[in-house]
Parts: sequence; C-alpha cells; structure tokens
Amino acid sequence: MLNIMIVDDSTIIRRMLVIEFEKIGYQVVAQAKSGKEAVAMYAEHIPDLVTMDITMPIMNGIDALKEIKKNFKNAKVIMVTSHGEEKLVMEAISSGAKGYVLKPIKQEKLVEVINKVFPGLRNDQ
Amino acid sequence: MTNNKKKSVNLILDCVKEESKSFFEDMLMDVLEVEDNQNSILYDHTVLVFLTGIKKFTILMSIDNELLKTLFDKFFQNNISNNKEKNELMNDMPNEVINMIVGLSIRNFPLEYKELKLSVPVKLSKANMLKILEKNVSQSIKIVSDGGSLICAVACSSNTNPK
Repeated sequence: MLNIMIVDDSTIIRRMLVIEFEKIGYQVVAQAKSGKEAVAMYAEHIPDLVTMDITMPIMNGIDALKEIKKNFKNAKVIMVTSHGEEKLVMEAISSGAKGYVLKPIKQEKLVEVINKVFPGLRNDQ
Repeated sequence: MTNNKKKSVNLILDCVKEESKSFFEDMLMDVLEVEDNQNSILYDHTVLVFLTGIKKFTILMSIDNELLKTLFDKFFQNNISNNKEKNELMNDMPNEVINMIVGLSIRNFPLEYKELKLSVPVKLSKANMLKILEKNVSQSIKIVSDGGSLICAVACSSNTNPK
C-alpha cells in the first residue's frame, strides 16, 4: 500500500484525490495547501508519492518540487495540474517530477501514471 | 488602441469559450446554447483570475445554482455526506472551474499571449466585478447546458483594478 501526500490549494481537488486514492486502496497520510506546507510535511511524513499542484499561493508546485528534491533525491512527485501549458510541465519533469495528470482528474489516467512511477505495483481499477 | 484591445479580448474569449465547451463535454453535459451576455448579468457564484504580462486581462466565470449542484454531483457523486464539508466544497467549486478552464485554454492562446501569468482565483463583490467589465474593454458570453449555465467574461486594460 502506498502512502500519499496530496498538495493542492483547492479543497475540491484534495478531496477528490482522497476519494480516488481510497478507491484504489492507498492511504493519504498528509495534505498540504501550499508549496511551503508541502516541503515541511514531506520531511515529516516521507510519503511514497506526492501529488503536486503547480499554481499555488506562497510557493508554487515547481519550487516546492525542487526544494523537496534537494533534500530527498528519491522523492517521487507527480504533478496534478490544470495547466496544459507545455513549458511548466516540462520544467517540472526536468526538475524531477515523475509524470503529470491533467484536471479534471480521471481515475484511469491517475492509475496509469502511478503504475509508471511504481512499475512493480500494478493497480487494477 | 481600443480596437486592438477588443481584438485581444475576443481572441482570449474565443479560447476560453472553446475550453469551456470541452469542459462540459468532459463532464458529459450537453451545451444547448452559446450567446452574447449583453445584459452583463452575473450569477451568485462568480470568481475571476488575472492574466498579466504584455497585456492585462481579467477573466470572470460565473456559475448558476443549477450548474453548481450538477458539477458537485458529478465530481463527488454520493461520497460527501457531511453538510459542512459539502458547503465548503461547493464554495470552492467556482475557483476550481475557472482554474481548469482558463489553465487549459492558455494552450490555445495566440503566441504573444502564451507567456501571460495566471493568478490564483479571486472573489470580489458582484458590484466590483461588474465595474471591471464596465470600465474596461470587455466581452461576455453565456453558455447554457443541460446541467446549468456558465457566464464567461474577459476584460482588457492597462489597469483592471475595479477602484
């Protein structure tokens, strides 16, 4: 079972992801509303996987990703974003994100990306 | 100058309109009608985002009660039973809708606008939001679906501050 940290300033997205992860059988161990909170919570919980929004107040998702990767090189982060804009997603990938999912979130896409990050862990919907 | 702004506003609004229609499709909802919002009405659930860079745009999205409820039911089905949580999530719904639609519509912006920075959603009073539309070059449309209606408006100015 994977331990997940959800990072998004949207209450809706955080709640939707909790529901989706519970359906798949994963445990959400932490939720952060900003990049700054995410950096602090990552150190506290060391989750197996982080879902990270890009546009957030205080610290955006890309800066948070870079900060987390500085201290935790093996951190696995996937970007969950409403930005279809190539540049931001590419910046996230080159900064160490393992993949991305576009909102509105579809469970099959979420599972597909997680399976790529954890190839030994097949999830069936 | 005004003609340039009008052209820019229409370009951005077209992108937002197309992405809004895709959004409805993704939500398995039928778009019944798209019309000019000539009376500049806004519903109770309205938020805006700013796009800043070489030009400044304000994009408003306004959701009616029916659409709010439809989207909530589609996003969460019967997974939320706590009323307090339900109200909190409903309150956040317009923010999420504008983030999704405008965020995705940036892909189709003309090249000169692709570098515009998108703000987090902001809620102002209805009066101030209407002032933004009145005081600046703006255009507004209403999208009617089988699950409720959405108003999109774009305003362009060197200063989109409502004061």
